[in-house]
Amino acid sequence: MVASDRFETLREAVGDGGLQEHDPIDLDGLAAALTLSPADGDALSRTLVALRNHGLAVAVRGSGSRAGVGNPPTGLDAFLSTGRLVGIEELDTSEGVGHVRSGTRLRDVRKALAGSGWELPLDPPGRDSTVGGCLAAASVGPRALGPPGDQVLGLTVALTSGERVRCGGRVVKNVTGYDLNKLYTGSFGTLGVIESAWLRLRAVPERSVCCEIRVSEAAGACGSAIAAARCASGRAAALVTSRAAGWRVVVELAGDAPTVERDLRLLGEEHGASEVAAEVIEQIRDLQLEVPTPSGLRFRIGALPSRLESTLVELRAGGASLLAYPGLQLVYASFALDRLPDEAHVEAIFDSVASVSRRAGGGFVCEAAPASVKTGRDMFGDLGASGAIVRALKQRFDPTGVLNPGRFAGRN
Amino acid sequence: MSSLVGELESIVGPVGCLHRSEELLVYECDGLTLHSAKPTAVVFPRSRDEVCSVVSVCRAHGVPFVPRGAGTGLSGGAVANDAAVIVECSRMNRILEINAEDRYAVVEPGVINADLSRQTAKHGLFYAPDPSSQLACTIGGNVAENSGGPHTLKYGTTTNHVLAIELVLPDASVVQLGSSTGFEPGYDLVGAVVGSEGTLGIVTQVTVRLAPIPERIETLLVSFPDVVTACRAVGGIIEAGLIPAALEIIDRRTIAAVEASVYAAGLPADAGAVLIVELDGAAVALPRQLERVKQICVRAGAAQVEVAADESERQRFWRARKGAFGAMGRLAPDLYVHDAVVPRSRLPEVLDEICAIGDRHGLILSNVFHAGDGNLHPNISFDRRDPEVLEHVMAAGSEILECCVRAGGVITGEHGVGNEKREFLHLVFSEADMEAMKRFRSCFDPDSVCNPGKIFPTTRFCAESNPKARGYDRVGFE
Repeated sequence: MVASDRFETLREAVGDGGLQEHDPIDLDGLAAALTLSPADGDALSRTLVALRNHGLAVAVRGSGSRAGVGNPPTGLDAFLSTGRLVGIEELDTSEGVGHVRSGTRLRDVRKALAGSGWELPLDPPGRDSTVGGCLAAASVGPRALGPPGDQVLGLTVALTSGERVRCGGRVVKNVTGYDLNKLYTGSFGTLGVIESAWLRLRAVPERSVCCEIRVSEAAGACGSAIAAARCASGRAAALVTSRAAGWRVVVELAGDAPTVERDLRLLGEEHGASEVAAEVIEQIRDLQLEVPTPSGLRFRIGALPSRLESTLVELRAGGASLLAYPGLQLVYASFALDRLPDEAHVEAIFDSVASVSRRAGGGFVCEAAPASVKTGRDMFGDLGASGAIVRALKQRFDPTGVLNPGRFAGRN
Repeated sequence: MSSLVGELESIVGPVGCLHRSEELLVYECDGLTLHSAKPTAVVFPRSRDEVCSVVSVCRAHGVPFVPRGAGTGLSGGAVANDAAVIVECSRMNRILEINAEDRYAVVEPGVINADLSRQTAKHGLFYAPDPSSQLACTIGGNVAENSGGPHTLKYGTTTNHVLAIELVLPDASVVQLGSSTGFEPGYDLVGAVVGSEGTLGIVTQVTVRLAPIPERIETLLVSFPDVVTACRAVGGIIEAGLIPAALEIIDRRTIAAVEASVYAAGLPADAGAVLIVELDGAAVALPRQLERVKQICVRAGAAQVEVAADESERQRFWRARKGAFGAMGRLAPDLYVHDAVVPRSRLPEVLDEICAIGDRHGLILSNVFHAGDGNLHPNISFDRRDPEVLEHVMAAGSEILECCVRAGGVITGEHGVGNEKREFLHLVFSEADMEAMKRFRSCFDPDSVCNPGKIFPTTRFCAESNPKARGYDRVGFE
């Protein structure tokens, strides 16, 4: 509960219509009944200063599709929403770049781009995903070209000091100053709040087609999925499996028509691929957010192509439902849990995922877990020696812990 | 001082430590000869552990240190400000692993860029970033500068190809960032370290992504009556959604210099500009893309379109581009290679203004640039022995940067800020922007001992930022 004097300061800082009281919303054991929604950069800046001055803590939200990711907060007085920081500042289709405010929904940007010959290279799950949320969470989908940070040309970020700082710019090539675009992207709003972003756009492919391969065993499935991801027009390749089902590979080919036709033919001849409806790849993408039970666990794991099969086989044997993007070297593993999970069982799953991810060549993040499971564990795994730098960054950028305190890697 | 040198020698051996004045001479500057400073010593460590020991000794003596690759940088980034010790990484030049199945390589920082692609070619793979200096420059240097190259347009810069980094921090500890999958659970520190110009620590190992060698390559040499028309063709190609591997423009003055040099490539002598377009990808796709590019160029006003018939002809086209800077040596004894970026659509007007700036200052100014991503390289040929000319060179450089920033651009696209442009950083960023960057740096190097004085403007360095004020107009000629 925010004390009345502070409440008034916040109301003034956030501006007209920017403060909303509601029923308490729980976030991993803490709850807040207040949402602050600044309508512009100045209001955002004022709000952050007011929060800092009063020693208050907020959870930063876009659409909320990734709100469950993170360690339990160590403080929560309000939610800070980017919901009113909306609008497309500029879409430059001669350059293939765009400037968008952070609360803008991706689907609204896609709508604005329709017919322009360009599309957004961001592809996260979640119908209402916002630009800022997608970047803050470094959220990817099957069609991602790589980490979202690679698509960011420039950012304006509001810091808790009240400064609104820029990094990068609007041009497609730039080494002026440190590339803090990379730092803020994927930082889950723990260092500053993204106000707007300059993004690369991607040319709409001349032809795209979705196809599917059904395979009965792991080796064949992984081989097909890797081959599909690596063919010239392979824009998305996903592999889905669970103990109860077989192995399914869904592929989207996109690019110039001759290449797509050739690759489709090759995948058909060599891997038994058959064409399916275009939206199948999007249905697969939504599996990224699923957990098998309300109290289940979901992990994101980095896995090299050469370790994909052993990774999937081991996780599957441990009861996981799996979604893999071999092109992105990512595996999403979901485990069902009872409502009151057995601690030994949970521990065994975490141990197994940590061990599998080490052998797979990458780390892991537990993206979904009940609050009881989060207690005493770091959802981002062990940061090793870089933990000291991560802590120092949080301390230097957000010394009083206004922004998502405790939520990030190293419980920062 | 002798104690410092002795301790450094005990780590890297006497042959791995240079400290006599005449030995240090070539390490006073990098590819940008206008900025120079004498290091206290230059050490050549052979391993990460030796780097750690060198850093420890420097810290104990209160001497800063500067990581250096091949010294091909063009922004004075490897210059030893504050009489620093230069940590030269050329003896750490082993390719530690090539994993063809997972398409990555693990290398030491001193591995030469082109050598890596040579070694991976037998696996059908290559390392995509290809700065013009790739025959000499090192992967460690590329990481420091986030180097690009002509093929950046399609493949991205170094940052898009680095998966993991081993970094010796300024407190001599070692940190591993990233992983061979590229997965990093915390902040993207790999992404933030790439391009940090050696100011956060010394990179001792790099894991890089390898790309498949394209099935087929088509290279066109297109001549235009002038640069503006060539830029129009570039805009047309980008707007058509085509993504060539490279789109490079060479202007009239550069053509003349190249054709009079050993790099002569048979460029049309009457052309106002030539555009090199390189397409790569699936063999089935390229013939149609080639036709589309030809049509766009002709529609834009191309005078002549030549398609490389074979690899040797392709190399001939590229010889013109890659030899352009060398050919400038025919025009004057000194060359100042500028580097700035503007939105592609602003290229024609910005180029006009840049030429006008050159004319106004009575300078020989030519342009050869990465047109596809708006990355300009205005080259000023001059003779530093004439102090008045040097003054004009510096003034014209400032005006060029201001012009590019006014057009929505930035002051460097691939050379870095280094010593050269630190006083211009304020053209792009506010005090608060720079303060946030310094805050970031302080988390790695709180005492600013690693490559000090670079990137950020400092009052202390203001007077030194003018080469003439520092007497470099007279260096070596008195």
